Amino acid sequence: MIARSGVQGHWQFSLYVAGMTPVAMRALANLEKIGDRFLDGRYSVDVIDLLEHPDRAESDQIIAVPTLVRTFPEGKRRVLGDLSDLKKVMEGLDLEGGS
Amino acid sequence: MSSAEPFKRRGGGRGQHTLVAKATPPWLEQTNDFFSAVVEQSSDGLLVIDAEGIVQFANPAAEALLAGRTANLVGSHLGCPAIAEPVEMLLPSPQGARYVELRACDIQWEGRKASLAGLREVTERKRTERDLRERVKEMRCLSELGRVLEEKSPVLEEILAAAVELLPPGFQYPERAVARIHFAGQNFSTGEIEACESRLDENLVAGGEPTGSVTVGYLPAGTSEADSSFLGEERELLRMVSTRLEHVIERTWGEDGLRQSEEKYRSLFETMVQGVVHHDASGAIVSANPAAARILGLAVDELRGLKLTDPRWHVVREDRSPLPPLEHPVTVSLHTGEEVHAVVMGIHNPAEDVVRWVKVNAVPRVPDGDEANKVVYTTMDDITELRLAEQRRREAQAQFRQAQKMESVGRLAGGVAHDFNNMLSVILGSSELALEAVDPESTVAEDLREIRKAAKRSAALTRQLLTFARQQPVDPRTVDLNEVVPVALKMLGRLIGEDITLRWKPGRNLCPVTIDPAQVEQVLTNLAVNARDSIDGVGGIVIETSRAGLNEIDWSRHPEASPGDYVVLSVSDDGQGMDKRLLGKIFEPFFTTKLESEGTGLGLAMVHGIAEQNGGFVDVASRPGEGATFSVYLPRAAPVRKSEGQSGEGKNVERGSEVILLVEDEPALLGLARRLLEHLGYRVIAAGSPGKALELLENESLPTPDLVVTDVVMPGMNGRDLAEQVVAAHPGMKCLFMSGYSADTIAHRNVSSGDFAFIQKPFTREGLATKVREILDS
Repeated sequence: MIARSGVQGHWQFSLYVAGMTPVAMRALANLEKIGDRFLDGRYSVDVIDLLEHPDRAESDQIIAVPTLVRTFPEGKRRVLGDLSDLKKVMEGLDLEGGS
Repeated sequence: MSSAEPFKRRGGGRGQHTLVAKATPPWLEQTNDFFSAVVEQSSDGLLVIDAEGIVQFANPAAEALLAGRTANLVGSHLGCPAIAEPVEMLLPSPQGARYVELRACDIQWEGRKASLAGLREVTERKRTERDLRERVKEMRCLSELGRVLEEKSPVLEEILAAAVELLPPGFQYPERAVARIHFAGQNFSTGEIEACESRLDENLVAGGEPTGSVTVGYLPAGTSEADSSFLGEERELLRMVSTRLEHVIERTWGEDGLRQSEEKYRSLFETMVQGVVHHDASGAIVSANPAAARILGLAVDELRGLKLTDPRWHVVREDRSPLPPLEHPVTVSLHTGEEVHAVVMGIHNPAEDVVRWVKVNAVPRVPDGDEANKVVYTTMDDITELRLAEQRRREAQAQFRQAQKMESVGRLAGGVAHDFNNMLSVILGSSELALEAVDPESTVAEDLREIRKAAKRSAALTRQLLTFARQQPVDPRTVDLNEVVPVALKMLGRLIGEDITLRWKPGRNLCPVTIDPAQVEQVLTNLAVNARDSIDGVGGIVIETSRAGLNEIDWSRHPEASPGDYVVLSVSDDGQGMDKRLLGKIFEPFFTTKLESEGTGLGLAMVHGIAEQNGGFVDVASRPGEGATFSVYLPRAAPVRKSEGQSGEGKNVERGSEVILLVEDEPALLGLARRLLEHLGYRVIAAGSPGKALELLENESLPTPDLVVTDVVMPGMNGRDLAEQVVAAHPGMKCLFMSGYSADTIAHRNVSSGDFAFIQKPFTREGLATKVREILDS
């Protein structure tokens, strides 16, 4: 399974925000929690602030923020919101233990 | 129902969808329609998102919300909602971001797990919330500013420096905002306003003049999308801030102006010469300036609470009668509400124990029409000195009249003495000539000698008359006072009377002095008369001479005198003496302790004047009851050259053979003088008038005279003019004036200046012989 093979490698995420709003900060905190717990810290996050890179919304087809995009392993997966529903995050990112 | 149609159609990307199973009973069909309608009509956006995050269904509201953000919403990769609670999401768009509240729940969609996401737009609510926050910030800014401005710091610069710090927090992006207040050439700022990319400006106008500006700007942010525009409310905020600052500036300016004005008037009040007193409605003193305190003789603090009618000031009217308190200008002004002007009154000054005369004005004032707060301002001009000066002026006028009277008497005496001296000259000269012609042992010679003695005594009387009238000519000579004083003693003895003994104590080894002997006589006469008058009944007067060296004179008392050896002529009495106050005044002209009919007040002034004229000064020592000593100090002169046979009968008179032009308008005197001179061996050309004299001078058959002896006062031309013409025509020719007339006349004719010699009428044969020889030999 892609997800399983991915777990063993280095996961990469892009977190799209529009300024470090309280929701964005919650999202980042929750992502770190998940990454530490389920990826043993083998992950990296690229926070993309649309206020600084407004063109990325269109090019990356970001409809709403915060949106978390799994860029590696291949096969893009996306979740919306503050990532406070861990189960939904794991399902959305196709992480093991999520289902 | 048509409303259910779109629901089915929009799901149609992947065929027909319904919310429930396909085979449905009619009631369920109806329910389905109902829910379809609800979904279609809902104002909230509804989306069905599958497990991969792909949108499977969107209602019209969702389409509308997300329009433009993706080409085809259904099928787009939105992502799975991963939220435990409703979350605020931002929908980015170049046309303007929108905010939605995202809710989510799990549903079954076409047999698979999916999420139903609800989107409710909250953009408007967010904006309202943000606006509210901005308004709160602006309010806080204004409130803080108000607090700073109300602290009323006296220094405007401090107010502005504090105010500028409060501005950035009132703006939308405080972290990037920079504020600056520019006022009167000074800048107060929180950062580099020049570096700001957008600015908002408001002018500061105070007192109708532009005085500066208030500026807020935003520094560039790292992001190009960052907003640096200003809200309308922020413009309004800046306007309100500038208005408030303008008020503060104007208030401070006003306070400064008021303070300066107050200081100016306070300083005027403190330094003015006029006394100013502020009274309350009861007449009690509220405040007074230092001038008033000086007049009233109390310190400003001591005056507070007192009334000017207080008995300590013994207020009197101009006629020195007590002024009743009810008539005091302050009382009158308080009772009538009218101004009272120029009331002259005497106030006893308790500090100086003297009466100060003041001219008082009282002005009532009723602030705001409240009678209870009525006040009175009094001004006082100290006119004490003015009154004193007025009194002195009156006294001086009286003295002037007295002096005029004396001058008339003097002029009369001088006029009489002139003619009288001419007659005496004839009597003296004729008797002397006759004595030459007769046997000295004969009875005729004895009679002639009596005539000569009587004539000489008459001459002495005339001299006294002139001395009294201050009209005798001045002829300073080098004399020994021990020789001059005895001459006057007999006359002085007669002057002081028999009850007073007069003692003469000549000093030893006296130096000569230069003075007109007549002035010595005048000094002695005045001092002796004063001494006599100070003695009540029996007493004694001592006249003495002495020497005074450098160390024996208190120079500090006579700073004007030149140091050196002096000869002292002093007159002491054992009379009533004088106190210090009197001593300070006795040399003032017209000061007298005597009745108007008795003295002129000029005696001691004349003594003082004579001493000064001869380079000396007068000292006086006296105590009440212990008599007085007046000492006249005269500077020593070169030793006297005693000429042999200077005077005295029987001695050889000096003779000569030179030619003398004699001019005299009195024929008897002309004849006598001619005879006297011819008798002495001189060749005399006699002229009865100055015109005749000039005519004779032109006559070449006559010898040129060596000396012109002329009278001073003659009709047609006076002796001085004649002498000047003669000397002009015959340089080197000498002149001798004869006169029995007043000192003033002689002085005006420049006779005593040393250019010409002078002999006083009546003269003796010896006197004339000596004088003529002296001039011809000089």
